[in-house]
Amino acid sequence: MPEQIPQPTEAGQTAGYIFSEPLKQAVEIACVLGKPLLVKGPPGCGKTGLAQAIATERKLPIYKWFVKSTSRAQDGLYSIDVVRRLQDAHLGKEQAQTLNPYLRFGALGDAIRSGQECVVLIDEIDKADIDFPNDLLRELDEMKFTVDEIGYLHEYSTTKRPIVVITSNDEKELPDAFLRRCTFFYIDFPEGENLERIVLANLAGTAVDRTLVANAAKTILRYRRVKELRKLPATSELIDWVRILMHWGITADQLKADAPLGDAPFWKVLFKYREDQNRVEEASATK
Amino acid sequence: MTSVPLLDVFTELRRRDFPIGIREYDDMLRALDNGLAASRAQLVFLCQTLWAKNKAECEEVAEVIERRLPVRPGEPAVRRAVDEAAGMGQGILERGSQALDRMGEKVTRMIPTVRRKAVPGAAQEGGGEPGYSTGPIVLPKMHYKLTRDIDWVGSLPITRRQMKRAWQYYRRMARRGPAVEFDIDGTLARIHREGVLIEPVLVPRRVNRARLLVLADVGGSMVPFRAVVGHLIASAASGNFAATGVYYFHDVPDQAVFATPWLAGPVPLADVCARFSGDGVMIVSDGGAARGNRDPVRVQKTVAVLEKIRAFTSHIAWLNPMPASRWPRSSAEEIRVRSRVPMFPLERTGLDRAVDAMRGMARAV
Repeated sequence: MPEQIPQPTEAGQTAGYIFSEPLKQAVEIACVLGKPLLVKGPPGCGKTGLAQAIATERKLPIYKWFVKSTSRAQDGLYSIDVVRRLQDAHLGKEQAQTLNPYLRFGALGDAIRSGQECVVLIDEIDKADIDFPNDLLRELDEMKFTVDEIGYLHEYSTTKRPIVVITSNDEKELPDAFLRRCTFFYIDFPEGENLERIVLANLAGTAVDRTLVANAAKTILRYRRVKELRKLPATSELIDWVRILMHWGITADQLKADAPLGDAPFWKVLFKYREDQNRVEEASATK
Repeated sequence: MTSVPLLDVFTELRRRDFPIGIREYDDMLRALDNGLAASRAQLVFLCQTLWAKNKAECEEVAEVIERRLPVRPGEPAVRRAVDEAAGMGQGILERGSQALDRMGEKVTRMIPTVRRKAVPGAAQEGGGEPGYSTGPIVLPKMHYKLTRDIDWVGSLPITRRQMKRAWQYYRRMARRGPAVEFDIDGTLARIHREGVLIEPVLVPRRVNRARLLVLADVGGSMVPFRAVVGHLIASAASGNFAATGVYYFHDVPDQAVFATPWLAGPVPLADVCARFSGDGVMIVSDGGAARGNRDPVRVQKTVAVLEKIRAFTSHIAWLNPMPASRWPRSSAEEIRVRSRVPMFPLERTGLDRAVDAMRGMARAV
């Protein structure tokens, strides 16, 4: 078995991530118990960013696995490029005689092989098939896996287990056997000052007007109170909105926190559905 | 009273179908040992993190702890839990006195919520303890509005998770969309035919093509079931079906069904059925079983409508929120027998079997 050291996923830009007190505690609980942390929450509330933030804060390498609807559990551990091998065999290439050149490790496989303390992100686990999480039980429990085709066992060797962060959009109900192995945290829409801090942290490095951000944060809370919206604007929409406002040079005076909702500049950026925009306009007109 | 911390809470959550076992309980003990709960709020949070798996369950955990482990002045819950976890359970005598304390506490907690109306003369009893006046008692004003439905989870015959799980079996897999999956047999056949592998044969992925039409009875005798039917429809809507249609009616789906639960937006039933022709149709109604009488007109009309629906699809299932023991001698029973549409009670196995029926796997009922 050639033991090339797997390369962790490139540490992306350290986007400002604000850990709320409960979130800090949830991460701590997951670490102490050595259990994966299952994170749910509305879209755009920072589920995926969490893993990167933990890695940055603790200076650990991170391995990211973005699950797709076609993903199989095994893909996260390893895959074998059979088609290439078949092609090579047809062309009479020597290397087709062994399996190793066609063996590719997935994010979780790499993390287990690396043997060092690290963070593993399994993103949007609910996108995959129903049986997907169940196929990962042993790997997550024991942190080892076998390459069945050659019968080679990979084992996580350090005493500290990797911090596994799993995100879910709740599209599918996950199996009980899987759920009970996870600790759980629900990231809610941030309240009060945290919201401003998150926006400021995300726009760090740009000349941002604090009053503008404060006004925008107050305004978005009012948008969120509009009844019967299909998708409430969340943190990521707010950040986009502030970016747009800055791009067009809107000042804090032009975005009053108590102005009518339909009059705020570029407010439509916050909504993804035409109906939602209509509702806001109606609500704004009736007031 | 037990000397094991939070056992009451744990067992109650298990009764409520939380996916937790001894190992998860042990996790909690380990976390307590590691000092992960320093306050009551943190203890609640710890239990939520370990035992709940979605937002609704988080609230449930908090509620169960609140009920099973009420706040008591002078005896922090965490302290007790941690002490007990460390095997330092308090003596029996002490526990007995605590139980008494708790009773006293309960009583005093209840009293201040009932406010006395100031009765001239009677009220000024030296500003003594509230609750000992002879004056008329006025209930406190509600300072909050009920902004959402009361959450009955835990007291329903079927939980949300069970519903979601049942729907996951409603599938009709077919290969559709872009060709992305490797077809081994096809590739081998091609190599055999052409002598060399030029490129692999790909086929479309298998996706769920199941489409679902829900016709839900609302109003009248269905009012008590609003919450459970609401959960059912929400869980169906979040299922990964190719299409989901939900329409409402009152008592009997007539010429038209309605797009909203308050029976607005009529749509001809024939149009709806045509759209879901060949797909699964689920009817949610008590079929007169709630009232318990036989209503020949209702039976007649319902059977006729079911016959009409059957012209479009044979995969029909009827979910009845009334328990099966209440069907006999009611219109529901007669509808079931005369229309031969399989009828199931709205509970765990009932829903599972209804889903089977809509997949075309109906068994004789």
